[in-house]
Amino acid sequence: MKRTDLGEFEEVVLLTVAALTPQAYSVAIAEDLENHSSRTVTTGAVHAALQRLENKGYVKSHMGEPTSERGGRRKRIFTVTIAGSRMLQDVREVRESLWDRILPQSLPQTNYV
Amino acid sequence: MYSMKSNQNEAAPPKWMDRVLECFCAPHLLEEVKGDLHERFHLRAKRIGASKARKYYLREVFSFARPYIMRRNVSNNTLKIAMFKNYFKIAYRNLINKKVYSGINIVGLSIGITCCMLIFQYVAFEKSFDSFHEHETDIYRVLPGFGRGDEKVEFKGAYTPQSMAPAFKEAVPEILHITRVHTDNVIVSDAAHPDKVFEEDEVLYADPDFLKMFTFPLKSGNIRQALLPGTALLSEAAALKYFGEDNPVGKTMAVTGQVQQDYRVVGVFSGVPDNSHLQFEILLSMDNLLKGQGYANEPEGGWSWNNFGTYIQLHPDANRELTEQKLTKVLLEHRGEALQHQGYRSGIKVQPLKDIHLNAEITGALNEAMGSSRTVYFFTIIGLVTFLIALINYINLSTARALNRAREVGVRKVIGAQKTQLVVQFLCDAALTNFIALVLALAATAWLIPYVNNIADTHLSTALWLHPDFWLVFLVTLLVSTLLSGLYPAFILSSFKPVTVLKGRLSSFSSQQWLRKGLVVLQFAASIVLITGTVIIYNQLDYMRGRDLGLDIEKVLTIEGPRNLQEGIDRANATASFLNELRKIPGIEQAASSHSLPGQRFNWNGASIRKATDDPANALRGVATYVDTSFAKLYGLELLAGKGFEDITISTAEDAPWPVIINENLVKSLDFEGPSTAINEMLDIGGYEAQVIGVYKDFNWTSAHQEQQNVVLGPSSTGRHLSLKVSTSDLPATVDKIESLYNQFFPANVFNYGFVDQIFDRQYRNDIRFAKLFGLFAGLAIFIACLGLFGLASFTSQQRKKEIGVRKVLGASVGSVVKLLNIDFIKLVIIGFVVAVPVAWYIMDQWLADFAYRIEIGTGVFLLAGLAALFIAILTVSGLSIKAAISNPVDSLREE
Repeated sequence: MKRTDLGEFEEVVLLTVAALTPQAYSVAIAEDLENHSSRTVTTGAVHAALQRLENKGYVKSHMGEPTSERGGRRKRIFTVTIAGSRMLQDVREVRESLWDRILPQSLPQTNYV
Repeated sequence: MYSMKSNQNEAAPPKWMDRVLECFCAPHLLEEVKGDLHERFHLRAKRIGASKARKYYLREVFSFARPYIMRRNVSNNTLKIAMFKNYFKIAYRNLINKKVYSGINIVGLSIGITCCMLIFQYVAFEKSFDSFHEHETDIYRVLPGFGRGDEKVEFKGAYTPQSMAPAFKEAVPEILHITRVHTDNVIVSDAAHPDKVFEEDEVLYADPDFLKMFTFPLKSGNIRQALLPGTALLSEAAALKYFGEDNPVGKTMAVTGQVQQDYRVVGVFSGVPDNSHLQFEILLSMDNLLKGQGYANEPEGGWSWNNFGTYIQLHPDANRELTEQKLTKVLLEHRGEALQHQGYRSGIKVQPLKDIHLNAEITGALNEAMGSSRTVYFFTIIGLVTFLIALINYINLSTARALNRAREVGVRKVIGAQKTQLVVQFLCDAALTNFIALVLALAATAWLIPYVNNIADTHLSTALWLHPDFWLVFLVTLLVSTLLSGLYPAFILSSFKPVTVLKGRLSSFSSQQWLRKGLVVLQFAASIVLITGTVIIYNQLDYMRGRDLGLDIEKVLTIEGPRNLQEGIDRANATASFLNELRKIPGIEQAASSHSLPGQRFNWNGASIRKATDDPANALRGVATYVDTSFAKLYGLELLAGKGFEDITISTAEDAPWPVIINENLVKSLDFEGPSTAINEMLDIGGYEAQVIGVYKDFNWTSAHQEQQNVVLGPSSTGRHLSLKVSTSDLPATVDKIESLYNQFFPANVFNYGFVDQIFDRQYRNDIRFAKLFGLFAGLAIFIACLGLFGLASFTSQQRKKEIGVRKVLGASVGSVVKLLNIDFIKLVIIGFVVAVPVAWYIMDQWLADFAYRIEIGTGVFLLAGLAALFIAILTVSGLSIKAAISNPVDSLREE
């Protein structure tokens, strides 16, 4: 049975894949996520999320060329599928419609740069 | 250690962590995962430094410890099945192509496995004795122990008196049930047809508890009445014999044994299983035996005649040691004083039911079916050795042939086969060979069982095969033999480097030579041990059966005197006049009667003997039997001093001392200076006053296992064993005459006859069986070893074909080439011989320790065995060597 829901981390990973395409692979994604958040993101966690996304059909992968920093090993490169793209659009629409319904005074003020 | 790695960054992830990863990560993901980890490591190392990156690395590695990473690739399954099919196909083709090698392997292994299976069944049967009883673990046999003076109390026999069981039952609450048993051989007839008489050897008297303790289920009848006074139970076979198809329950049968009594049949039990140490066809009430003449008048309150076996069933929670202490206390309360007077200290132990059969050194009061743990142990070893020899064949031939398959290995590796795949492939080879061998072995075992039963007098059957355990053992055997035979060759073959083998010559091959030679040495050492063993066993058998007994038992025919005597007839007179009539028959030279025969048990075992004037504490143990006045002459006993019974008149006065003749051994044991000084001396024998009237030269009444005993012969003319010295060419006619005379004298009795030398020899039937089985298995083991040697030799001569060709071209003679080829193998046999001698000597010395009269192991036996092995080896190898030596060098050299 294929699951179709999308977890929070999965969503972030999926978005990062889209952002990094055509050079989206686990290490790059993990590094990227680590740079954009203050916590450590392990490669294993990203790899597992990618694996789940692939099982759900939101990404597809192919083996890339070997590189020297990988000790001559190949890497698996991911791209977003049509289903993945649709899912991201849906999520975005849901979020945006929700944002639209928020009145400015409903949210407390935050002070961040 | 440090080294410069110029092509790599100095910062590298820790190797051991990579190894951890390799352990859990599925191979098909490894490249990607490892790549990720290393790339990430280098990124981190650049950013935050190598040492910190290393710390992160561990966390990174474990972040991959997820089920989907560990799971092996499932989509490959069909491919794997295809590979397995291919492995077996290749294995099959190899089997077909190399018929000689495959044949040697299969035949060798299947003979080895057949031996193992036969031995396994024999051992399983011996170990299964008495395991069918429901209360098996709670039942014990009572062993009284005796020791004199300062000696340890020894528990060597299970002989107990009739009054022991009731005393125990009353005083020891741990005893749930207790029964006495006593054997007899009797004459039986249906009370309704007293003219039809049958003889029955396997009769057991028992107490009512007997059937509550032991599991001998009744087919019909009432268990509540079983073994009450005047009742009998029959086996199905016995019931059919005495009463035909009629229902025997409720019928009355007349039994003449130690007592003459009519019994009502109250039940029928299905036959006693072969693996029961108690064997009986008829169960009779113990009460009738005890109330009959004899035991009813037993002196000392029924504590002096140790003719009974006593079995107890303890409460499941009872403590065995504590119970033994209580039983000892009860014994001493009743017998302490009397035993002390005779100079004995005493105690009680109980022997678990399952230990009875294989402890033949503890003798019992019954005709138990006894086994020998030593025999079981010996055969287990032989079975394993045979199996080992067969496995060695496989290992040797497979590694020797490695060269032929090296190219195949090279090509497979170049195409991409991994080492594990090759190992699996060669294990498949072994599995196929072993499977075929195992199936053949099953067939061979089924076919051989009747023959083995016949020659070795065993009770093997294929019934065991219906048991699921058997098939479990079958599968385990297949697995174990596949791994043992296949693992080493598989690793050798799969470790070849493709470049070396494909280039041509494979020289590293010789590194396994020493192992192969070592294994051949081992095989031949084992074979020589077995040959030596066989020779020594047969020598000992010959020695035992041919030794001078001091008794002339040749041509002595023995018949059993009557059980049923008509009212008012005196046994002594009837026997005497019958013997007189027999002496008149032409061809019968002498006739005598006695209470026991050579080769049978003495009548009084464990008699306490001392000089009348000696301290009771210094009494000796001896044995006694009773004979008539003609006995000594018939058996050729040599009188050393004094008179025989034929030379004296036996006083019938009440207080006259008991005249006895003793053997030389007893004279020495009693510290008399010589035979003549013992004459007329007074002895105390078990409380009876006795006077020595003569001394016989030592004679051997029992088997060579038994050392010379202190023997006392007493006079009696009522013995039921009649011995007849015959000298006739027409034995059947003489026997006919004896039979008709017997029937005339003693109607309503069964005429039985036998020969004393055969009766005597029957004591050795266990030894003979052992010798036959040992010889059989030794022969098979040697045959397997030869098969292996043949295979190896044929391989070597093929390998050295070119060398031989060159040698011949350069002028070597046929003889020198044969010598060259043979010498290698001869060396191995000689080393094997050196290894085998001490092992064989040690093992066989252990075996011989069981005999009181034994041969010494001479060097001749070893020489014989060594030469035999050498001869067999040369015979096996020479044919091939000669063939190789006379071949035309042109044939071997023109190629290339």
